[in-house]
Amino acid sequence: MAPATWTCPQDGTENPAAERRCLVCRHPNLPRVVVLRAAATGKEAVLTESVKFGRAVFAHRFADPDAVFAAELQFEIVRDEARVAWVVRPLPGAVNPTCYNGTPIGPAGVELADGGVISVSRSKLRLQVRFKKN
Amino acid sequence: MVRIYDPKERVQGYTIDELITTGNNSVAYSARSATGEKVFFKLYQSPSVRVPWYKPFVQHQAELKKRIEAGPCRQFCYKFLGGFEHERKFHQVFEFLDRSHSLAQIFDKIRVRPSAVSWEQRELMAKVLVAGINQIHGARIVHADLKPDNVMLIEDSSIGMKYRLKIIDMDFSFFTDKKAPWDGHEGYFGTPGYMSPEHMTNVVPSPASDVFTLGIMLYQLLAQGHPYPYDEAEKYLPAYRAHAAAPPKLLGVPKAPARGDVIGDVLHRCLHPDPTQRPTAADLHKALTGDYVPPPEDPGAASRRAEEERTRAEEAERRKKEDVERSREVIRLADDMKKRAEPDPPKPKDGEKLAPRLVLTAADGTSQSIGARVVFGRVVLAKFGDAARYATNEQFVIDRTGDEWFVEPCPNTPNDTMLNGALLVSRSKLAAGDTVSIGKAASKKTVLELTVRAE
Repeated sequence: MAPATWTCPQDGTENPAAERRCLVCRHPNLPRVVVLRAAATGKEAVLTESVKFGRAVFAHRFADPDAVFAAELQFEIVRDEARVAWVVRPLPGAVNPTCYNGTPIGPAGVELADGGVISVSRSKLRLQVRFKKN
Repeated sequence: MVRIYDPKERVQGYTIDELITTGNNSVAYSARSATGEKVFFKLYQSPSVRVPWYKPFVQHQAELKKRIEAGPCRQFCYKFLGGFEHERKFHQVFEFLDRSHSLAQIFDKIRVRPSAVSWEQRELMAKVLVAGINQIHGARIVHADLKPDNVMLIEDSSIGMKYRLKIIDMDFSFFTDKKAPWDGHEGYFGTPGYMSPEHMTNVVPSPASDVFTLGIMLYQLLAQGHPYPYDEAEKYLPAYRAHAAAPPKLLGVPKAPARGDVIGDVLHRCLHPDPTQRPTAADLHKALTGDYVPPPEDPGAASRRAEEERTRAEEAERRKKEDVERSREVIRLADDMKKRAEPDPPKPKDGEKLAPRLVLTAADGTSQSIGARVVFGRVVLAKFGDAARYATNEQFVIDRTGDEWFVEPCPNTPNDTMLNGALLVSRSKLAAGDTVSIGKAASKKTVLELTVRAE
């Protein structure tokens, strides 16, 4: 079960779980680390800042045999402090669409959630999202 | 007279550890509960069971506890653990804040070494303090005795601020929707240097009065220091009325989206003499976090600001003249005291012990005997004469360790505490024949010379 509150790492305030920012100091409640795990190989990438993903990353980092379905630059994962969210956004020029939980993503991108799945087309190069607080 | 509890004495299931302080209304101890939990244990000298507002005061404490615990302000306030009557005296128990420092101590620290507390930490402290007062006001409570000594910072290295903040000393706070039990019987507490204009003119304080004091504390935390750094109490009110404080100069750049000019303007308005012109604690919090939208300015505002500037300049000139006159008065008073003093003060005998009781005697023979720790301030010293007005509410402390007595200066006093005519800088042992006085070390002028002897 998800906790009902989160503690602001800046000032120690207990905030309701639904609050994206600390009610006292406005510090964003954003997981520090995002882990992406390739469904096909079990290999992981650990992100602490914004990163662009393309064919080379799928081929080498995730060792996914379907890497050819990705464009040179397919999508980016962005730590968006204004939205207080990690966001996946497609990059222009990709032939196959980037999907999140099976739905193609528009140019504005979508916010990631723990357990969500990013893929190229509906079923290729599936990456499972996991958040880590520290 | 209140009986002082001895260490290890048991009171209603609590075991006294040690005396912490003796105040005007209460004696405070650290103690242990039946389960071994360390608590802050308060024995009230006032109200006594004989006054008509005693019972309403006890009920008032229960309601304060309830309101604090029921709302979000509980995470900003110390915990009220409960109250009881014992030997016809009211007692109350609060959580004990271990590993804590008062904001006054933090101010002392940053006066010596400004980098001891970073700008980021100061900003966070300001936001938490203002958010806490905003929540207290949301619970329809006026703190009414805000001051740096009543804001505690508990060490916590796991968070960016490095401290958790708690607002304390709320037993004489009262409600905005009810009269205080002591209304009409006693005045409203305040501390020189941190009182609002309402406190000083016998008007019942309101949330806006807390905002005034918050403004003073935030000037100290975020800007150039106390906006009204006067030595004499009588200077405050005219300066308050003239809104003579210079606009704040922030010591750092606020974290975006907050803006320095907006914070500066709101902070300066906290010190407005008219409570209705001050921002609310919620406005102040929004200014600190960048959420504040200033109201549109009306066309007459610029000319009013120019008029205020003129008034401020005139007030500064008048204060300068008053300073000169005041210095002359201190010299005259010191000379008078010398003339009235006995020619041969009693000489200390070698090895003479002062315990168990110590007597302080003024030049005119007025004396006070003490048997435990006493905080000497303006009120306690008033019996020794008019010169007590040169003392702050807490000027120095005299206390006993074993068979020996010590005197210790309180921090942040405009006038110095002197021991045998020399500046007292730290806790010092007393001997018979020593003199404790108030003065200015630089000018070597002293008043209120009290001679120490054993009873």
